[in-house]
Amino acid sequence: MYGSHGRRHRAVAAVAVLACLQVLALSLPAWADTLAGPHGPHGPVSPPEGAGAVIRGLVLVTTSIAAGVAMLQPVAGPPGRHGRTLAHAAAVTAAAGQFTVIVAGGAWLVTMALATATLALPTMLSRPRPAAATAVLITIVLAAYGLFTAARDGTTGVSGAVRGGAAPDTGFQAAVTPGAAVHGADLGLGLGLAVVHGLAATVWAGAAVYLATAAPADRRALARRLTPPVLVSAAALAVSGALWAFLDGVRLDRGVWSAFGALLIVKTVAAAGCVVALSVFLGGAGNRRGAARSPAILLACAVVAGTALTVVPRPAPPPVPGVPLLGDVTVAGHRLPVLVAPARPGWNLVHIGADQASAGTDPARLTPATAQPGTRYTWARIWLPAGRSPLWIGLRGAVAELPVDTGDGGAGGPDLRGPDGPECAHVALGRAVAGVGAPLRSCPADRLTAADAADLRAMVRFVAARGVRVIGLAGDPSPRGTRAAAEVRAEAGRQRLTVVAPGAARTPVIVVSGWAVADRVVRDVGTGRVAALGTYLAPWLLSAPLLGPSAGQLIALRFHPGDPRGLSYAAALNLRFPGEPATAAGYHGWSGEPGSQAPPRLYAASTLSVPGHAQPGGASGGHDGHGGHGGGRWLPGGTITPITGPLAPGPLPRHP
Amino acid sequence: MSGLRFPVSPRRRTAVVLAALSVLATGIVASAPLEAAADGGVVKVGSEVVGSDGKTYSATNHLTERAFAPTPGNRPRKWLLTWAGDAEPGTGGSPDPDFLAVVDATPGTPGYGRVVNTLTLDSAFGNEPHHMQYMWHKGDRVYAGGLLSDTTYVFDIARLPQVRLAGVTLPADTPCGSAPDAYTVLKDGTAYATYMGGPDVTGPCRYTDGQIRDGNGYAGSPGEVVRLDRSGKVLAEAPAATSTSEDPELCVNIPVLPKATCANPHGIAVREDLNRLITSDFAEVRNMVTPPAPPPANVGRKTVRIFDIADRGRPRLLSVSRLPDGPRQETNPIAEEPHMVMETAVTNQPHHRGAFASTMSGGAVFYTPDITDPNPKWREVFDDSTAFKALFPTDTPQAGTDGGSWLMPSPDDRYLFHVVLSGGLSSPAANKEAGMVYVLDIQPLLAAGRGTRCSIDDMREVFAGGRERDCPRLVSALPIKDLTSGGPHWAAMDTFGLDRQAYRETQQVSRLAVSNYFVSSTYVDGDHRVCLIDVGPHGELSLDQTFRDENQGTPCVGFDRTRWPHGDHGGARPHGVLFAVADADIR
Repeated sequence: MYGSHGRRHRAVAAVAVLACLQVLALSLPAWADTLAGPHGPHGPVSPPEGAGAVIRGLVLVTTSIAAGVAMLQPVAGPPGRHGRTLAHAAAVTAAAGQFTVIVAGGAWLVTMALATATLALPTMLSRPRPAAATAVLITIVLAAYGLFTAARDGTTGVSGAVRGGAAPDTGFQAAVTPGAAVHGADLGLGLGLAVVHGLAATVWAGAAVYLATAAPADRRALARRLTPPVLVSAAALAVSGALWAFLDGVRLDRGVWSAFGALLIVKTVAAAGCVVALSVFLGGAGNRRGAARSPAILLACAVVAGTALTVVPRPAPPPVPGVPLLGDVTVAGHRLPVLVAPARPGWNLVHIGADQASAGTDPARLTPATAQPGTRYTWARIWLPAGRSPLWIGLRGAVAELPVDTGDGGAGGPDLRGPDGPECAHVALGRAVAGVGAPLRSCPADRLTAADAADLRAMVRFVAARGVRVIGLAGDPSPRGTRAAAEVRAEAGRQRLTVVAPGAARTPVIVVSGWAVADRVVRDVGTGRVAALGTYLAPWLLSAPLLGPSAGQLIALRFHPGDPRGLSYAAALNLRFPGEPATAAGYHGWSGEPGSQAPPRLYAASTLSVPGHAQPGGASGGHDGHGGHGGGRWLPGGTITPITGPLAPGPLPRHP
Repeated sequence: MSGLRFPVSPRRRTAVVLAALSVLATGIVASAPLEAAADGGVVKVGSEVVGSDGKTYSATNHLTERAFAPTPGNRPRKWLLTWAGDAEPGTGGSPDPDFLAVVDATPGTPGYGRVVNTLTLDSAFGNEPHHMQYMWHKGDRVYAGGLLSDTTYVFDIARLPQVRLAGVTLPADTPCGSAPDAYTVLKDGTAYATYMGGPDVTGPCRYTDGQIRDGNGYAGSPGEVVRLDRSGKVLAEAPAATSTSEDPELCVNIPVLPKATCANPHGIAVREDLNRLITSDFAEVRNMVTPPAPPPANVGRKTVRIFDIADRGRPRLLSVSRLPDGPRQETNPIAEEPHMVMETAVTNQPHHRGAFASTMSGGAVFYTPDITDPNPKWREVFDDSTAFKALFPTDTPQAGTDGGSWLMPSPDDRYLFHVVLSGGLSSPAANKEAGMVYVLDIQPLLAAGRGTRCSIDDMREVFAGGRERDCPRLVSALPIKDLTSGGPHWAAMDTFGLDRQAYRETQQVSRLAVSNYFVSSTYVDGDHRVCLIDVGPHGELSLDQTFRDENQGTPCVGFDRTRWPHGDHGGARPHGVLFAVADADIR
């Protein structure tokens, strides 16, 4: 026997307090790992938004209790006095938490409706069916709303169900935004999982309250009545939970030892234990009191652990063997994005979103990452063995591990050690930002596309139409550069233009090299070492570091970087790899479109600034520092503007 | 006892339950279209034009209920047009639109300070909305420039608060210039515009009058003067550069040009009665920062250009005159007085022929008594330090690099108004964010005619004003503190007086509107507020405390807000401001 009312009150209070404390305790590790999750801000690790997480957890637990009691009432009968007390307390707490969400800027109408309905639930218990229906409705709305906000904030894993197929517009919000490239199936899967899981968890919460607060004499009969819904919801929890965890990247070999994984284990063990304990209790075996109490405690543990799962970040997905990896490490107090490409056995290019960083497979012998012409941040060439291995990233004396998996050592990827390696890595980066996991098999510099060749010819014709008779040409020995130079020479011949090497003669300079040579050319033009009547860049040279120096840059493009799609790419890149320049290679990797059928237009590029005013990141061609001001744009601090109509076959602008 | 119970009857409880359910249902229904809810009561009216590239450019009014609300006594309304750019991209990086905000600027009405309409530009994003014309007169269209998009938009505001997109001037329409800056509208409704930057393509460019100038490309040099018709069609592109080389040491061009030029016109003013157009050279904007070396001081310009516009379609450059150095000896050469001539302004009265110029980096005001003089001579007549000293006797901000901006004389030529962005870079920390608006009495100066003697020659005059009797006298100064990297930059005068249920233009200025924003991509931003300043009968300035933000309840209208008539698109950056009245409400 439980004894007096006082003891019951204490037991009820203890359950509530323990639940809250457990939420708090289980959430703590997540705070240290930042609630922003793997898609959150980079740079210095931010202080946790602990209060928000606790409130969110508290709202979920208490709403589940209030709704669970109402939901099970048609099966379990009216709850006892303590059950009603607990339901009232939970409803008031939930409503208070929901009002706090409104104050914090949540969707007030939804939250207000939820809070009002939750507050009304205990008073509706006298009408079991309406109360149950309202409870179901509350749970569905809360689950959907939780999914919506969590996906928007990037804090929890349910959104993975949506995000999985949502690229390139990531996130649930993109899914519900008209025009976003999201399949309805992804949206339905995410919502379905959230609703099923929420309903099942609520049933369990209600069952826990019923069992914990029932009179001992009634408990066995009550348990029998509750067994069918509990078992059904157990199955629903198991299936939806497993699918959810899988979509969130949790695997047996990875993610289990994270805070998320630990909670998942607690939840699973508690849920399984509850089913076993319930069976034992119903079978009459074991100590009667202990057997009666165990299912309730285990139920409560499962519910609390499940609730806590919604406030901890899901673990980073494991590296896919042989697929370029875009990961994050926290080192020296900074969260740094890291790109590893091609992620195949042998030499790899490691791109780190920091200056003065280093990388290697031995934490004691790291290779300094260095700046590369035409790029931002730093790069290191690292030999990686076949299969899984740790890659160590160093910054300011501290190191952090990033697991990589280069696969089984079959066919290798492209060699990225040359000057065109960073451009090739940007293709992989674009794909990774889009969520496309594909091996890197070739590089842009391997060949000249038909579209690029046509654009170069159009550019030469444009120059010829301006009355110029001599052009400068800057190339490189890559297959693309060689072929592009031949195209330019051939078209120049047709236009009766003389082609010379850039130098003292003030001619239009056409640049068909990769980033490295182009970087030197635009700087030489800007400083006057090379005279130029404008610097005409090949389409693949669309990258802020090549557009910043004052060289009269013009570039032929088939898309407008300022259009919504171009800006979406730049914004997505900035979110995932802050401060990294948006590039043509990255855009094509992100969009999955190697080229466009639209005719090329000529764009002028320029930065703007005012002398004497300090700039974050120093004087860098109008660029900002690392992902701050101007981040998410193609040319931070400047503009890329179309200055002609279609180059071919449309009319050319007038010339002197 | 059976647990907690609310002391209500079953009937009342049922009512509560039903109410709760209805609220819940409302929440469910409303959860998806929250944006639509934000749009409640907003009337959308679209307009579009076809650009020279064959594409359709559209704009949409978002008129709130306040736009149609009656005023006490059916008083006609004044409007403050504010040309604003989106500050942050929307969800997933998708661009939010730039827009022209229509703010109720009718004192004493319930809607005072409310944004009653936003005309969004739906087809082109990231324009960096910059300036409109300095003054609006009955029947004028509004010319509004996109600094980064190299585009001019023309708006028909005859039916304010509703606005119609009436024209668009695309980059390819002005191949000899880029980076449009300022506009002035002629009596025939056409407009002259300054395009600060060089030709779109490096090399020679042929203007509409057949002249050719060699340029170093987009946002480089030389800039030009463009004449636009009422639909934005280019009537003329006129070179601002001379046919011969200017001083290559004074006029740094990067990359270097065969003929050096300082022609980067920013401010613009016109005296049609004198057939003169005047522009001020600001800087070769794209070369302000050239890595790895710091920018040469002389990318900031010190020159003013005067054009003969007897043939309105062929502005002809008459003179390039240089502002003199002042008495300040700055460690940073770019902070010397004549650097970066942002603005120029002409006197208005027929018997006056003078013009003013102010420098953004130099922090000083200059004057020439006769713009018809083929060799105009400029003299420094006021240093911003004098106004700073009056406002802050201790910890006085520095005038060098103070961001001297908008400059306009009152139509009656009594006062000269000037907006200053902040204390200069070397200012004491206590008052470094001290932007200001000040007023000078310029009547003695103008009365002196060509015989003016005023000149700021020594440090005492820098801080106390000129000794000569004709020197401008500081009438009033109002600090505008902005804690961001920028501050007050642009302004507009309200000269509309109410006369029997209709407005008419007057010679007096009753108010100024001031916007706190420069250009964020230059790292000089602002707190994105628009304030109204009352101008007393004797030129005294005071902040209009009743022009309040509808959300914050504080003086000045903030553009860092979540919700707009066109939706929850977040903060915006207000640059150009202009007072205007619907055609039906002005005589």
